[in-house]
Amino acid sequence: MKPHLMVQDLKVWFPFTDRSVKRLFGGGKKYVRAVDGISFTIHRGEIFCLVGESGCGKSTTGNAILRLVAATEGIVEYNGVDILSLPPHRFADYRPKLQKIFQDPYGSLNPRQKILDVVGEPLVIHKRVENEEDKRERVLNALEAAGLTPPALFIDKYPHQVSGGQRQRVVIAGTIALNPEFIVADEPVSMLDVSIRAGIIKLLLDMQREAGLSYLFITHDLSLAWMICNRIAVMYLGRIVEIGPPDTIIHQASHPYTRALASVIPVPDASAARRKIILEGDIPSPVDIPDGCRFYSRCYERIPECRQTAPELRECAPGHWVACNRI
Amino acid sequence: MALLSINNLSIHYRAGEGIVKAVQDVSLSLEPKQTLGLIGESGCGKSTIAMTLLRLLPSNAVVQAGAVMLENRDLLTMDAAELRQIRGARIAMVFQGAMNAFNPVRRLSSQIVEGIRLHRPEIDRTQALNKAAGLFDLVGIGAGRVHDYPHQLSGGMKQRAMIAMALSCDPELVIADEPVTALDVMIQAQIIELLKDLRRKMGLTLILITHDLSVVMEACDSVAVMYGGRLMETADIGRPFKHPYTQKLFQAFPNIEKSRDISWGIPGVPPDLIRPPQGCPFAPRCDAAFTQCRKKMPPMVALAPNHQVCCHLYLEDQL
Repeated sequence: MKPHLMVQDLKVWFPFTDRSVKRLFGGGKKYVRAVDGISFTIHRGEIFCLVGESGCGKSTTGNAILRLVAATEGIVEYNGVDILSLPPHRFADYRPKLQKIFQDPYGSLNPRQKILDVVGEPLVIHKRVENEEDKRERVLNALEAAGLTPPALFIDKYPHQVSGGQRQRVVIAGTIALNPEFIVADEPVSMLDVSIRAGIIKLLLDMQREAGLSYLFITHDLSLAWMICNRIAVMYLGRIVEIGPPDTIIHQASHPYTRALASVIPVPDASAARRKIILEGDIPSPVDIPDGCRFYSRCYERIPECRQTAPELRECAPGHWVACNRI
Repeated sequence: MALLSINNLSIHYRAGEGIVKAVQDVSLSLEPKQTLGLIGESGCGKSTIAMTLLRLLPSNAVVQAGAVMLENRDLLTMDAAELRQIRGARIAMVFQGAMNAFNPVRRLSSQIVEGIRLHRPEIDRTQALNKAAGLFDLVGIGAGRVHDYPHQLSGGMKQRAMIAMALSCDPELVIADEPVTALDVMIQAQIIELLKDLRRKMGLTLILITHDLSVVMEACDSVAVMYGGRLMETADIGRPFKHPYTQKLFQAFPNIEKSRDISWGIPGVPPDLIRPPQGCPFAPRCDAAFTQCRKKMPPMVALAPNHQVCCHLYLEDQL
């Protein structure tokens, strides 16, 4: 089966100038290697999760796929078409098909627009509506599909007049109004209370089932990823360290970083005695990335080889890929 | 004797649209060396209670009723001079958002020494500095970084420094308001381990305020659950939850030790605290609610010496 989306060797480097170096030696141009050579595929109707700590490059990956930031290198094929190399006017045809749900429902809605206009604007931009009446009709349908019922109660309100969970539903309504095929959901529930969260997740899963949507679901919460997705990819410092089915990643992970992440997931059960692997320190800077394995500085199972050799992602069992020198 | 007891506390905020009944008739007590997890979702009143303990409420807040007793003194009726003796010295607070809680243009050492010297003028500058350095070692930053500026530390380090500062005057009670919320999972685990470690080493009495039930289950002795400004349940950790709200909340957290079944959360939205519903605030979202729940607020029912629940279901005379 042909993948819905294929990412190959994607790199996103942000240049900056180190002024102290420039003053002393000239030059001084450096790069933040936010995403540094990652590859994965997403099948039609699949929920693929990217998991990692802040700064690991997971959001940048999502943005690069949607061309919200420019990729430095690499290929992103959507239905077999390399969308990164398309000229802007041709890529415009793909915009409605590839949509994004943002994290912060308080920041992503224009406070001075009514919900009608927030949700209706993409329809107008992509010329999907003929007149105001048509737009209203389409927005009502989108709101209903996003679980805001009865939609007539919401359409003329401003974002501040509805609750946080309802705001995120408005964001989703704006996304699905265009009938997308592929959605990048970047931490869509992390700002919401737990009791509200599940309702939004259910909505996303229903959309996947009913409309056959594929998702790139980005989250820092490994337990949430485990619950909802088909496959999980764990990122560390711009690279994918492990890809596998959710139960494998949580219970039989091979990479030391994944095992540590899974071990510190808090469990709401006081009797569960679990051995935690707590890593020291923080993620190193993505500027001066040393040779060898990126996880070397924090790894508790490192061997001398790891200092020099950067491990490649290898398939260690069907569907289970690991980048570790010891495996 | 309880170190801290909150008796029938009610706090209202004056807002443009009316009176927000943020905390209603909450009673809690805390024994020395105990860790209490105060848990609830946004707007349930948990941070309002934290702010009340140090009298840091904004000017539009009104303490409608109740008392907050630190041993035998009521914090709510103290004068400013007496309150100063308590803030930071006997009750210390680790604020939410460690990123912004330090003064960015002063060295950490000077900020911590200032606090120590204010409360203990007999300690000289060198001694205070030694104490700060010792605390930096204790919380795992390392004494060498005590002269750093806040921006030189990472987020997790700053949170550790906040904890060091809170401990600097040997407080009897530490209140930590969402101490791990803004942090990455691995840093979160580091801080939780640090708090557990400090409890073991120093016999810290701690109130941990959070929205994350899993964190409470890992780090606390007992839990108090709030909803809509009311206390719903208090229980020792390990006892099965009885209140329908706590049960639902508990199920809403993913548990990787169990199966991947998804719980669909709690339908509906939290109550409007300007016009709270009659009766139990959870009744409109509760599966088990019956007529009485929508009429009358249930009293606290003791199910066991260390387990109380505020629900009509457990009233013996309900039938």
